Amino acid sequence: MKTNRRKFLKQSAFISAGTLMVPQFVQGFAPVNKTGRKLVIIQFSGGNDGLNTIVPYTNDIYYQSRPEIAIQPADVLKATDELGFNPYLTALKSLYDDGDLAIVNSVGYPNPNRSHFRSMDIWHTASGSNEYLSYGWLGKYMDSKQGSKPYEAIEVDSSLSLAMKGQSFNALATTNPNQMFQTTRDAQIKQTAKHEDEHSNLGYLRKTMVETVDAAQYVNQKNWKGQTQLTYPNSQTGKNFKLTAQLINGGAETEVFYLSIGGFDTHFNQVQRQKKLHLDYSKSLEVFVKDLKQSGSWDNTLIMNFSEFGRRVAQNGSKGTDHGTASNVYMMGGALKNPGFYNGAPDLTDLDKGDLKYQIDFRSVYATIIDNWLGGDSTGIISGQHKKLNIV
Amino acid sequence: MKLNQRQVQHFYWRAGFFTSYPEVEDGIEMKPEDLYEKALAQSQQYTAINVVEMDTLDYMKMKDMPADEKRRLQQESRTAIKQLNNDWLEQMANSDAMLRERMSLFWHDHFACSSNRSFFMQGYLDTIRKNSIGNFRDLLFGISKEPAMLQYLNNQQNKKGSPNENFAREVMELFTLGRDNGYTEDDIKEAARAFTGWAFNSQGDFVLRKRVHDSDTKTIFGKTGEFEGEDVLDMLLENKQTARYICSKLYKYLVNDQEVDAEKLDLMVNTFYDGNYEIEPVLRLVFTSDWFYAEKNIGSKIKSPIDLMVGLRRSLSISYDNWDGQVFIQRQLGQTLFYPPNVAGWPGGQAWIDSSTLLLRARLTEIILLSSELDLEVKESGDDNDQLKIYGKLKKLGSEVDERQMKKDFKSFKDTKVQMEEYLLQVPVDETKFESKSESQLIDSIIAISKTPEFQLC
Repeated sequence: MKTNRRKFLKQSAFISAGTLMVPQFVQGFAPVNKTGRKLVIIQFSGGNDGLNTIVPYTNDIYYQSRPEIAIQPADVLKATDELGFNPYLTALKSLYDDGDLAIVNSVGYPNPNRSHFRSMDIWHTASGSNEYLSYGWLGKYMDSKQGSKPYEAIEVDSSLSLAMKGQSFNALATTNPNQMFQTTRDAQIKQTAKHEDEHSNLGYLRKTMVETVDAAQYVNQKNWKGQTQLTYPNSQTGKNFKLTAQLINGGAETEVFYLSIGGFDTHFNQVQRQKKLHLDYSKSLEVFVKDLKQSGSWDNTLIMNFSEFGRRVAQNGSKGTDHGTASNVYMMGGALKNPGFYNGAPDLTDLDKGDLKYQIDFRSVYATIIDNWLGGDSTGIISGQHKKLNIV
Repeated sequence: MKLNQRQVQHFYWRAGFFTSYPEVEDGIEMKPEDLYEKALAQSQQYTAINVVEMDTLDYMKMKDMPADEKRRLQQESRTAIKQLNNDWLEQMANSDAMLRERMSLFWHDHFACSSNRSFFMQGYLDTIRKNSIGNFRDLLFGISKEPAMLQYLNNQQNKKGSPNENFAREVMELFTLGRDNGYTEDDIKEAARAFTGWAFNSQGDFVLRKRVHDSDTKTIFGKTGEFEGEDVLDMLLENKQTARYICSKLYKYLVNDQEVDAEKLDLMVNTFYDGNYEIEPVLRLVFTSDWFYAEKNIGSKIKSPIDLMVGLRRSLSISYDNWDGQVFIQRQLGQTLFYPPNVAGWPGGQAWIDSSTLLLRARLTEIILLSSELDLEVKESGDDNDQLKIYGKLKKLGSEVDERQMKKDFKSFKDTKVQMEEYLLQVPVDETKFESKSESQLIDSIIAISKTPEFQLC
């Protein structure tokens, strides 16, 4: 086979990332996100049991439905006359006391799906339950801001969630910026050059590689700059919160961070398993908030915490709960307009086949975040009209 | 027309999952028809993949079972699905029936489906692989009656008086006509009635549950009658839009996913429709046409994770000594067999690529060839009953390279670097940076080539 490789070479205009002395990000571009606001998404994977998280501790139906796993009133960290926190969520309780936490109850969507994958897909793409979309809501938000760099949306994980995938935007996934940076220093990877036609498949591959090489260097640098003095739990969750804080405090122009915590699919032995998860989460969150407060970033940060569904009101036969529907979403930050409980406790007298009925569409939460916090336009990102919540 | 090396490789990438260098050499100077006939003949054989004898996750039977017994059965089923995944990959990597396996993967993506019941997934895979180069009507009817699909699309809950429209909607939107192509919401509602009672029994066999089946008059696509589910499927096949929708997906899958030549597509549609939905004549049309081998189609596609992984195995004598390594690659790169993201299948194309998948793709061949330690963790799925869970941290992929076979395959090479590029790249590169990483020039050049973005194309 004879290829016309020499000709091919001549025709192509290359910009080599490896030979560029000054990476683009240092060249004094104005920050894309003018407000400097941060959004941190925390996903509880597996379906966190909302009723044992925000506990309706005066509700008889709750106790009757869960004879073995209900949280006893004496243990609840009480917030209002009817609702309180799981005893291991002390960080949430203190955020609540400080006016830095808003809780939205009964968040869901019409015709709920009880499959993890499908429901997660729906939450990630902001779709209806019979719509199949290929891109994520945060990815589409990044698409809507032209020319975003990969490091503007970082998932602290080994791979990207659908929520972070845009049509043209490529977010970055990493749990270890130093390691990623070392990988991209590999001479054979670094030599990749851009291609003149960025829309061809080859052009797209090259562009992604060049951007990744640049972004890896950028993120690694910010991570070093933001090294924290505080001690985080030595768990994966603790490490992920720590990295997020270091990037924020290091001055990374990252607008969106995405963290997931797995293990919430508590079909059996729920109390012990949820306790372990909540404890780890609460301790990590506590240090994270402190870290951001010390650097003065807390007022610029909004945390949104969700799970793909809540769980059945009644416990099952294995001291656990099965897949349910609506659940609570928490939003945290130093600049909440309307902290506290946004709406009333879930109505346990009006169930749909043993599951909670949703009161607030999750897409209202998304639209609120995009429009009111990030200063974007949710039209075109989230289909349909959704009432904004007066929280941020 | 006689094929040159690059065109032969183009055929093997698109009609199969690439092949060894000696087989590529054999194909040079062959006519497309002869190469196709050879692949077709080899694909006539069919070996079913059987790992389980019966369904053990029947809800009714499990009702009164102790919790730990239930968990044991679920665990068993998960392991069986992992084995199905592994066994199918073995077929893709080792079997001569490459056309059958390539098309099976296409149909798995088209009729995307997932179930925690291994017996159901086994039946579903059997229907797909048995019919993958046969007749689309058989495939559509077969899949529509597979317990895995009936379960996946909630047809067990589709009953007279309280219909569940999920299956009726997807059969039109995704399996036949394509979204918004010639059906209305009323058609879906009425068709759902025809599928009421389509269910499976405790043996995992399809049954029509007469008690919950609606046999009254329905109006679908402007026709009124006492239509049954089978009638609806036949009405969908009568509509030429179904042939068009399937062929346009096939064109993008086999030929070019960026530029569709409308004229060539018409040829495919007519062949498919006039040939009563026989699949093989359409494949013949594509793979024996000059236009398939046109420059713009060669190396124009991004390898799917399965293409990449199986292609490496077929071309470089790689095998795996355990299941987890291959599951890890599938997961991290975003395509796990029996685990599509949803009923619409994998978005594919450029959606395969983001910073983390591209970095892993660039390193994958090196990791395999040098048996390097992994520095990545597997993303948690959150599901307690995760079908393909990898327990603990995976340190190594468990891949093995048969270096003797490799040396044998490439013994005719005179200029290793240049010839290896010609073999492993469908799009030429300007220059690969060559570094000495092993004691073998063969392996060093493969590693250098595998890190180019061009290597991700096929």
